Amino acid sequence: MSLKQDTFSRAFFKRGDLWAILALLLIAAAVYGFSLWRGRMPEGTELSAEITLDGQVAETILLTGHPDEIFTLDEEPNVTFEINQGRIRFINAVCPDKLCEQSGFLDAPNETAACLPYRVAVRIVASQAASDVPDVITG
Amino acid sequence: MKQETVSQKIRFLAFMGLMLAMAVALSFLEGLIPAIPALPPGVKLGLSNIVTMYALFFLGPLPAAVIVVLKSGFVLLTRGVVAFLLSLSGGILSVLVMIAVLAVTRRKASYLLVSVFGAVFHNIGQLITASLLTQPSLFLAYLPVLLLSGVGMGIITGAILKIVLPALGRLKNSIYRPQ
Repeated sequence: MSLKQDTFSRAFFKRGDLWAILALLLIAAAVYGFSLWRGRMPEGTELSAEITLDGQVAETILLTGHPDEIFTLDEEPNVTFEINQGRIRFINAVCPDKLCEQSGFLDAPNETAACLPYRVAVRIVASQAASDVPDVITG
Repeated sequence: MKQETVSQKIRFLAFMGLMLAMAVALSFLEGLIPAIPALPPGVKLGLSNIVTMYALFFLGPLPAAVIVVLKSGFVLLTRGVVAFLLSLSGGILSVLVMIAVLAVTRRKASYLLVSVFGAVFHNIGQLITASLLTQPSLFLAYLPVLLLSGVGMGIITGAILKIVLPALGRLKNSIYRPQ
């Protein structure tokens, strides 16, 4: 079995590397900018939390105006959510590494967090409030 | 003559075993480091990429890929199916991209370039799997932070590889005793 012998003269760093790294950073910045643009909230935007189990939507909860609450899904009692001031986050006492909790509160459209061990994800969905239409009854 | 070939094969196996042990140990060590906030769940940083890169540079593409797959097998035994899928997808994409970088530059790419691309695509591979397993919008939501952390981690693992190269070279020579 012959071994492919690399030469120890391989450079650690070449000037051209900077351009490649810059390109990667620019892509990161562009995607981040795009997600900020997608996450903008015009007046009257309502936010909902779309909770998926195994990629299937299990529940959609209107966050805007939702009272603070801690709850679990009937289908997956191991994963706990907290709604606080119209934001939602994972609280999971069961999973080993508690990584999902570190995603923190989600409060902008398309923000997403996932608990991989149980394949549960929550995504923020924006919609236009119905009350945006002039309300003649309550004035 | 035949004797010599058999002995070479055994030496190769022994060295592969050592490399796999190092990859597994690094992967375990990485699990001991506290999770980095703002990283998506289950996405690891890929310290064992140091071993994969060494295998890629000094043993060739196939042994590097074999180490990646066997290391994921260890993850399957110790951490379950989801962690295995993440490890395998990150590892495979990473090693394919590193092979491509070497091919495109006609094996002239620097350690840093290979390392950064390996780390970035390790993260992207894991993120693709995580998105497929849960929610596709996870991909765009975490792509910026994972590109960023991939560049940072690639610089770190590339530097570590460069530092430990002489030690790994001695290890290899102790098995492949140069005549």
